[in-house]
Amino acid sequence: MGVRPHDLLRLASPTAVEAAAAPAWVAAALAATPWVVARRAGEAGGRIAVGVRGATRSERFAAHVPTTAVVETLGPEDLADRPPPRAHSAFDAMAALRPALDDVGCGWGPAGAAGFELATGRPALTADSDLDLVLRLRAPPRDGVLAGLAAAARRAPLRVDVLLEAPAGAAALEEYLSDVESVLLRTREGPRLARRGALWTGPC
Amino acid sequence: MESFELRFSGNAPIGGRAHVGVVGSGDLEVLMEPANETVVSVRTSVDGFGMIWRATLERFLARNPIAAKIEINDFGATPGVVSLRLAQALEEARR
Repeated sequence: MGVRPHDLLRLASPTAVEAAAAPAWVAAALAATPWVVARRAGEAGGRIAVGVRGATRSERFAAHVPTTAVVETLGPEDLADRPPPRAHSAFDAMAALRPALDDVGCGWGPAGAAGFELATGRPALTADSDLDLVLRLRAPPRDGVLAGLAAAARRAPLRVDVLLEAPAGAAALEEYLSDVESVLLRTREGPRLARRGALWTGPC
Repeated sequence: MESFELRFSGNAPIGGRAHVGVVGSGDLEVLMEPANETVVSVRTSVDGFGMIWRATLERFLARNPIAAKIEINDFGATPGVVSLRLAQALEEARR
């Protein structure tokens, strides 16, 4: 299987990132932690679309890396069972939601700062971080399952964003359960508005 | 964090109110309601993209010259996602 959105990629060298016009923090961040996150655009022609994380929310940089520069790949599912490197409400919330998440879909795991911290061992979560979770689904679960998960997520001590990764793309759990007519579907070709049923067409 | 307000000259009434989007990274919330003049208030977690905001909003409001009060809470969405959320808000306001 190729690289998937949210996969964390460890690079053989921090200079593997093709970032000619990068701000100064990019090289410093990669020198400290040579990991990048795969973007939804994915892989083409031996290059992977990635994002570099900096210390703050506004420090995010889109770049590419050659496929050959990747020495380790960890997806959200690979990180779900890792022991937390330190105490943080995001890890507590993950533990509390585990039964609800294990019950649904075909795999789940942390993304965002929590995922980055579990993969790299480097602090990435801050006092005002959210917990980003990815939940893979092949088909719509039975009635009430997602509502139950959303209710559990709302009880967490911090904001929990659950992204449904469906065959046709990804949608936010919260929006999927809302009463809007169409939802924002993030696909490899870019985002679009789609009816909920459109999520379930395509390979998992 | 950055906040600013932009004014546009639109006069097409919208049906009702709308609230779309998600408070989460790479996304935004859009609140839209009928008004006599078009004022867009933007709060964004990412500084320094005022020009892109103006261009994105101008494009949307040139195509849809509505009279509406629009509030945007942005969490680092791309211009593509912003445009979709604006279109979605209008779709909901017209339902």
